[in-house]
Amino acid sequence: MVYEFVVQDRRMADSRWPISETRAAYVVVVTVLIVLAAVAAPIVWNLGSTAAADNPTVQVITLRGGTNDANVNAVSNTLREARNNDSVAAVVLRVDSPGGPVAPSEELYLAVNRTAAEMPVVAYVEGSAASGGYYGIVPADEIYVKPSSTVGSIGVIVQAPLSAVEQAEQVSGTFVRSGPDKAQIDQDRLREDLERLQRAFVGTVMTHRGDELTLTREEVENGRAYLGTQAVQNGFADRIGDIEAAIEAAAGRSEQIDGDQYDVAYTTRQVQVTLSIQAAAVEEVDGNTIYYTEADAGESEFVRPVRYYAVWGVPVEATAEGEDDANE
Amino acid sequence: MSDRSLVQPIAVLIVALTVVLAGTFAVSALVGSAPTGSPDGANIEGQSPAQYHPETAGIDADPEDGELSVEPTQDDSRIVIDIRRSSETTRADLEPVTESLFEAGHSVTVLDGEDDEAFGDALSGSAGLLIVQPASAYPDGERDAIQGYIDAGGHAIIAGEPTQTQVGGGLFASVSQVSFGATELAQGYGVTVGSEMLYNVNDGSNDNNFKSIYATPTRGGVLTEGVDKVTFDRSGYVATSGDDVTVHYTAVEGTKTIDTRRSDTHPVVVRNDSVVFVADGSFLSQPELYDADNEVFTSNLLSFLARGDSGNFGGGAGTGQGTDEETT
Repeated sequence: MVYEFVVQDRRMADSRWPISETRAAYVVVVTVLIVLAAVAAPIVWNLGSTAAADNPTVQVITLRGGTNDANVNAVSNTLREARNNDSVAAVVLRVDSPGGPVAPSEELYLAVNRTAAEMPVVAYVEGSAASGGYYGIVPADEIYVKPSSTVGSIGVIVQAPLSAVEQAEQVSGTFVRSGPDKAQIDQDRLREDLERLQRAFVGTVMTHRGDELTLTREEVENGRAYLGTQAVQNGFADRIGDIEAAIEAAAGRSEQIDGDQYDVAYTTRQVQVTLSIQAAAVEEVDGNTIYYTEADAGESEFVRPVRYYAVWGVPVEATAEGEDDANE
Repeated sequence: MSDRSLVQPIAVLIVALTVVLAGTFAVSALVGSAPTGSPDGANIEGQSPAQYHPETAGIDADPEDGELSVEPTQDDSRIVIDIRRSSETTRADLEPVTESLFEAGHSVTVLDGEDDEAFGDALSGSAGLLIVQPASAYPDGERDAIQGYIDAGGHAIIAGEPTQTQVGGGLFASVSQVSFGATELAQGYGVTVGSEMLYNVNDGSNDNNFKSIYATPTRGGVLTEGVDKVTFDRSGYVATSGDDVTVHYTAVEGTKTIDTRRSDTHPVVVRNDSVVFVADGSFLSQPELYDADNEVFTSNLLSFLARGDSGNFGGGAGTGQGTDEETT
C-alpha cells in the first residue's frame, strides 16, 4: 500500500517534469561550468594573448622640457612601466631638453641607465639634449641627432644670491646658530661642491661615451654645446637620423624582435615646459606624486641658499642685466 | 530522488572544475615561465655607478693651513699699501697681511682714499710699496714719485689683474668690466698685464675651479723660497719687454688663455730688480690667502718689501691726483 503510493507519487512527478532528476542535475552542472568559464576565460585569454599573440613593442618615451622634478618623475615612471611590461622590447627616448637642476637630472640618468641595463635604449634628440638633458640620454646604446640638434654643454652651475654669499657673515649675526658652518655660505665650499657634482657628471659621460668620444676629458669639461653634425664627428652622438631611424635601430638591437615584426607605442606625457632655471613652482597631482609650490612651503621666508643646475643656458637675472657673456 | 542520481552530477562537476582549474594553472605556469625580463628590484648593476662614488667624484681641497710669517728687519720697516684704485680689495680684506707685518715689528700705512696723506709723503721713509689691482691710471706726479722711490732703494710690488667682468653685490647685482689701469706705470718697468685671463680645466691642475690656476716657481730666490705651488683665482699672465725682467713663477702646464685658448708657458710673477709684478690680486686676502702655498708666497713678498730702503727719498713729487693731470 505504501509502495503503491510512492510509485503513484513518482509517476505524478514524472508527468510534471519532462526530464529526469539526473538530467536536471546535469543542467545545473553545465550552468555552473558556463558561469565559471565566463569568469575564468578573460583571465586565461589575457594570459594567453600576452604569451603568444602580441608583437613585441618599441616604446617611444618623450621628454620635452627641462629636467625638473615633475618631468623627470613622469619619464621615470614611464620607464619603470616599460621595464615591467613584458611586451616592451626596446625603448626610444625622444628628447628636447636643455637640462635643469642637477638632482632630477641625476634621477633621469639613473632611470635610463637601469632601463638600458635591461633592454635596448636608443635616444633621439629632437631639439636639444644639453647639459642635464644629455645627462639623461648618455646611457643610451645609440644617440640619433639631426643637424640642428644641440648636445653637450657638460657642466654644472651654482646659483646663489651674490648678496647672500657676501653678507652671509653679517646677516648671520642677526640670528643664533648652533655651529660655525650652520647657515653659512662659503665661496670655497660652493666651489668644492660644484666640482664634486661636475666630476660625477663628467665621469658619467666618460663612462658611457668614453669609447666613442674623440674629445679628451678636458675638452668635455670645457662645457661646450655642439650641433648634431659636429656631435656625430666628436662622439657626443652616433648617427644622423630621424625618429623612425631611432625606432628601427632600437628594434634591431632587441633580441625579442624578429625583423619588422614589432609594434610602436608612443608615450607623450603632459610635461612641464619650464626652461627657466628658477625654482619650478608646480602644484599638480600626477599619479601618486603631489607637487607643491616651494615658495610658501614654510611659514618663514627662508630661502634655499644655493641651487645646482646642469643647464644649457644662463640665469634669467644675468641676461636681464644685459650681460650675455655665458663664459664668465 | 536516489543517492546515485545526485552523486554522479556532483562528481562530474568536481572533475570538470578540477580540469578547468588545472588547465588554467597549467596555462599560467606556462606563461609565467616565458621570459619576463629582470625583476625590477634594486639588485641591478649600474645603480650605484662607479663614477658617483667618493673615490672618483671626491675632490682634494687644498688644506688652508700655514700662517703668514714676515721676516723682521734690523730697523723696523714701514710698508705702504695702496688700494685707492682697487674696487675689489678693502682695508678689511688686508687685515691678515697687516697683522703679520705688525707681528714682525713692521708698520703699515694703508692708502684707501679716505683722509690719506700726500702720496709722496706716505712713501717717504718707508721700505716698500704694495699696489693692489689699480683699476685706473696713476697720474704723472705719482709715477715720478714711485720712480724716485725705486731709484732710492725702495721695493715695490704691483698686483694687477686682466680685464674681467665684475659683479657687484647688493639688492640689484650690477655687472661691469674692470681693467688694469696702471698700464703706464707698469710698462715703465718692462711689464704689463696680459690681455686675457688664464684657466685650466684639468682637475689635477686647478684649485677646484677652472679659473683658480696653479703656478709653480721657475727659479730659486727670495720670492720662491719654501713655495711648492701657489693658486691664483683671477689670474692673467704677465707680458714682458726687455732683458731686465726675470720670470719667477709660471702657470702650470696645460693652463690656457681663456679667449684664444693658447697653451703656452705663461709667466705670472716676474721681477725687474726692485719691482715685482704679480698677475693676480686675489691671493692677498681670504679665501685665497692660505690656499696651496699662497701664505708662504705672500710672506716672501712682504719680507721682500720690508727689506727695501728708500733712504734719502724725500717725497717731494707726487702729491696726489688733485695736483697732477691724470694720464691713461
